[in-house]
Amino acid sequence: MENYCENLLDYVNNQGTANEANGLMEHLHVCQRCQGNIDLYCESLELMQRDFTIQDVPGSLIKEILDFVFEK
Amino acid sequence: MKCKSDSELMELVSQKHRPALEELYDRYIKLVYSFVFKFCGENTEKTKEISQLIFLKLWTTGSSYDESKGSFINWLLTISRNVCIDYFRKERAHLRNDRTLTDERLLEDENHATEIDQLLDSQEIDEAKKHLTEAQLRTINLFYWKGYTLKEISEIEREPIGTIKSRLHQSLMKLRRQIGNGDR
Repeated sequence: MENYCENLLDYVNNQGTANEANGLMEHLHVCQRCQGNIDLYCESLELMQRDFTIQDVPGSLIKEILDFVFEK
Repeated sequence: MKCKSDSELMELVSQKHRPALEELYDRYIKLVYSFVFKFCGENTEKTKEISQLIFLKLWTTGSSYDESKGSFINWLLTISRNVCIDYFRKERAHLRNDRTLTDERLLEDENHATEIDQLLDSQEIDEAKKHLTEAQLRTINLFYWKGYTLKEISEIEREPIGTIKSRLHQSLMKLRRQIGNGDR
């Protein structure tokens, strides 16, 4: 997946290895088009993060979830 | 713990300070649960499992929050989404043994509180989404809320990957333009 210009969307969606991510970072220094696109994708996806409604957590789950964490 | 900032609490969490995680949990369980609830298509059992994995990740990996790179809430939601994506990718890998990917389409279908309210201006998002076509909305949902790769979306939609890529690019551009960045 080293054709960075073609695969930017997959990179922002957490595909690819750590090495590929490092390669992408270097590529962004030399490719203005990709830099602009990656900014667009990251900003837009951050906006998407707001697209949900706050729910009440069922009372029985509040303790269960935290207990699970400390038991592990 | 109540008077500590999120950043200070995360620092304590990395030192395995249990009351610090409990305080972060009190502040953000509702946010995390609600985000995951949507990602899971409102499946309560999966929402519970994934919420557990998210807080376990905070507790065991010492995930490092860097205040200079943005708000804690955005950081936490990004981690939440990554955990959701991993969870569903693993689940889909199991499902693939029994059915083709296209069949999966059938399955588709106080201070902190104030900060969360401000972040979740869903009315603004709803308004922006009205400017997207049905296909654009579907593609964004598959990409963002289901974590599918472009290749997988192209298989689900039965369209060339280039078409999906271009549609997603246009959709994200339109979305950003609609939400207060029209001058870019």
